[in-house]
Amino acid sequence: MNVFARLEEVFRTVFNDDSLVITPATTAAEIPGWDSLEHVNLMFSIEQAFGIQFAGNELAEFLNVGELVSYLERAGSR
Amino acid sequence: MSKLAFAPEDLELFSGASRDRNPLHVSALYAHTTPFGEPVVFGILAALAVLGRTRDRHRNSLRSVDLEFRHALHLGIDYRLELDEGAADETTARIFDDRQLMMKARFVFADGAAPHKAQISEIETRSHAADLRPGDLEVGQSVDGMYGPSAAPFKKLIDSYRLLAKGVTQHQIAALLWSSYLVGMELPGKRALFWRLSMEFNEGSDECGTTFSYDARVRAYSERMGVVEIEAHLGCATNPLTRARIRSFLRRDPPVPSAAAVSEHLQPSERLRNKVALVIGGSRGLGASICQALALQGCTVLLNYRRSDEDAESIQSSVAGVSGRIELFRGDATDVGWCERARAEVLATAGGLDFLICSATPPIRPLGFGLESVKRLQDFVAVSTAMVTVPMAAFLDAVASRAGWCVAISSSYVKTLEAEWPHYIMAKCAVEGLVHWAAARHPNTKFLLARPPRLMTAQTNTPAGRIGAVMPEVVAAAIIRRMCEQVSLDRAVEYMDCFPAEDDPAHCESAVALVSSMTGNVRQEFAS
Repeated sequence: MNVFARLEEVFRTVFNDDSLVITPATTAAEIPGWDSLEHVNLMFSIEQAFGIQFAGNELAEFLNVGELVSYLERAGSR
Repeated sequence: MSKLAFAPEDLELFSGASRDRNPLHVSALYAHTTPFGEPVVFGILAALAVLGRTRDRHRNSLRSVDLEFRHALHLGIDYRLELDEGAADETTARIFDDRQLMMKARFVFADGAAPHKAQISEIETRSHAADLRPGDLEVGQSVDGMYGPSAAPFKKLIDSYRLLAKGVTQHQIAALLWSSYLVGMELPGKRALFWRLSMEFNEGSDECGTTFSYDARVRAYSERMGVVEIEAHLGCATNPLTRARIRSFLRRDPPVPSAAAVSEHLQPSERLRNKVALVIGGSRGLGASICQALALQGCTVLLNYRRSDEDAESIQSSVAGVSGRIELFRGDATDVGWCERARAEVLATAGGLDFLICSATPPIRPLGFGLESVKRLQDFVAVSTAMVTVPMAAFLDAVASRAGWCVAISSSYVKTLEAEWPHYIMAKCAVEGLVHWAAARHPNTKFLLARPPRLMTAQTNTPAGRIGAVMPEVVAAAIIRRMCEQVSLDRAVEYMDCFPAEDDPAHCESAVALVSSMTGNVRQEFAS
């Protein structure tokens, strides 16, 4: 399963919506319930799913899902 | 739909029964130093209160519980409880503060009556909360021991909510209390904010009664986000009869205003030598950093604070040896009588006033906008605006006579209009209006409205609140740097919207854009 598909699974679990579809352009404003608490929940779940640790201020620095995917792909190749 | 409210006696009863003595819930002094400002309701207490409102289930027994505590519940507020008991084997509940979802609960039941009797024996437990810090935790770390609630308050708690009529056993209630004890007293302890609980009860778990053994292990931990996930088993002898998965936040130390950090952004000088400043709300957060920044420029600072001598003295001592100095000026700035006396003292001892800086704010919590919360909105606005209007009424003439500066701390939220801050935005807009009015009548006085973004202070010191927050030292340095510049203002009121660490406006714009884009409606959220 590629990074994008794995990430979509995490999103579906966190937002409790099996039909949720994300795209590279998806932002917080487009997903109901994506508030700051769910943001922490999402990032924590991503860390667990991908075995990474976000550093610095990365938690607030992704413009959209596409940037997050790029980050995860880079993290995976390191 | 019904109302749910909590009183201090409820906290005492729950604390006594559960043995959870976490100071966030039982110490007003400690809670004042946290973002919550006052003791908050135990999450599990709220869950039991919810269970008490559900229909009686004499032929059911509880099989699982899922709880999510989204925001802290406070004492004396009428929360709205919405129950869905349409399904035979399940009850879901949601607690709202006006339109804001505070807590979710799901109780799943099986057929068969729950046994009511259990032997209660006293167990020795921890009397003070463990204080694990972010660096103390790691995956695999574990605690184990014996647990039992305290018999008399436990029985009183059960009776007060008629819990044994709701399809739950004493063991199950004790297990829920244990989860509160574990998080608040053991793992991670004092700094914990209970976020989520999933608990499953196996067949026969009632055999354990209310006294059982437990082992709990850190399953996942993110130090950066301060999130701890714990997996636990409860049972008697070697039988694990109840499983729990718990997620909590671990609060970090509140940031300490640092004169050294201010001086990194503002070169110490004597540019404000012989100037006198009064800083309203100077013992904490941005106000404290402003006091430090002024003193670093040679100013004599009268640091007004209301409550914490310790915080104020700490700020005072942090600038020992610099060119300026800080004098402590304790009092309630919303009190007309105090401001009147303070003005007389300032004029008599300091000879006048060059700068008035209004930085005080009451404890800030998210709030909805509706009939259920409008009274709280009005109360907040009244107190918040009084922290500016009363000092301005008292000291503006003195500042004007020296052609000085009147600075009011507003917020970037007046532009971004965050959803859950109508009270805060209304108060800040009211202050901005008053400043404009005053500027029209005091053309020789310089007026500055600072609109900083969310700052990293004790008030925002939560895992979600810290995301994208700006250090107050950076903002304080930018404000005082502006006040040191001897240039005339081209507007009656100057706005500061951008607070770069260096003179780099581009950095400022991009930082704001990124934070607001990804985190969307960033707000201060808490679990209880």
